[in-house]
Amino acid sequence: MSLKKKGSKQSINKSFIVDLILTKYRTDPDGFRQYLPDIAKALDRAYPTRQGSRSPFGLTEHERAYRLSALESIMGNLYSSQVSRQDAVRALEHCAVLTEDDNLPYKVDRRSIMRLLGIILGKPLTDVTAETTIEIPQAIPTTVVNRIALVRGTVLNLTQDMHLVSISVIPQKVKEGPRAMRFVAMTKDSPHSSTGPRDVCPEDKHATS
Amino acid sequence: MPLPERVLIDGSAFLALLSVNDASHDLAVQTYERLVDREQELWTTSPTLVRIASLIHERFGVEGLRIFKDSIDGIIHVFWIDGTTYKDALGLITNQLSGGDLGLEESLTSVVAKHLQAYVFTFNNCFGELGIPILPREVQKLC
Repeated sequence: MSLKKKGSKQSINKSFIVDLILTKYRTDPDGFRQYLPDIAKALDRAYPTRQGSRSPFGLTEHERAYRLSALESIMGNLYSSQVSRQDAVRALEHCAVLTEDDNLPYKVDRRSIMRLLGIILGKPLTDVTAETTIEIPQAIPTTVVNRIALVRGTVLNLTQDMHLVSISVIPQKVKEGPRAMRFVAMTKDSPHSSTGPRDVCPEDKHATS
Repeated sequence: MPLPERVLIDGSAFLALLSVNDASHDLAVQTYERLVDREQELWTTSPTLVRIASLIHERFGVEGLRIFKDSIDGIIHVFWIDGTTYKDALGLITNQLSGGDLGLEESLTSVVAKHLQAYVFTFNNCFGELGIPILPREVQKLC
């Protein structure tokens, strides 16, 4: 067997094995932990439960309206004029709160969030090549309580009251976002249609977003 | 309502993602992009994976299948159906009242969703009728 074939087989086996182990860990957590405690601890670290201080009931109508209005006033200037670093920080905080509440408007998409991140980072997110954490200057010492990802590969580290403390970037994971979208919009036809075989768009519009 | 921890993607969501002309395409893309960006734990079942992969292979050939495989590798976990889950899903179908239109794939998805305590990303409102939480919210409202 050639090295290439062997590598491919190992890659397939790896994701298959991870899925099988993760299935057992999710479907029988107590049994899994009893028989494989070390692996359970490793999976706890790899797949952490969302930790945060937010209410399970979400925002009040008043809080939601305030956040949406404040966010919209900043996003309205995102492409027409300069948004300051401070405005970008506030906008990301609003996005984080609204995301946790599952009420972030769809028009605040990956592209606009990446632009906000770029303003804070001082360069486009895609230009970051090494793992890094950007600290946001704070008036008083703060503790990170909430961690929220708005774009894959970036983590917003926030205080209990959702003020941004720092942003962590993992470039390898940032690249996973466009990759995950590559199969999207492969066809203009209904997949049930019999026309247009093999009309693959290898580099679709999402690959560059 | 806070976002769910885990999300199980069903066949209707994959079909909506694949086709630009699907009525639910835009909503599917917005939802999927958010799930990917939030790094939520995404799953699908092996029967759904096989159906969608077969369809892509049939329509787009090996290159299409390669793109699909590379896209979801490390992003979407696969719940490989075992005998117990299969029996549970069959039981769900045979216990339906007459006139129930739950298919085997939907039945398997609902059983797995309960096992994983996951929301289902779907455009099929049968899951809502089974009391399973679904995404996107716009579909949830129709149930």
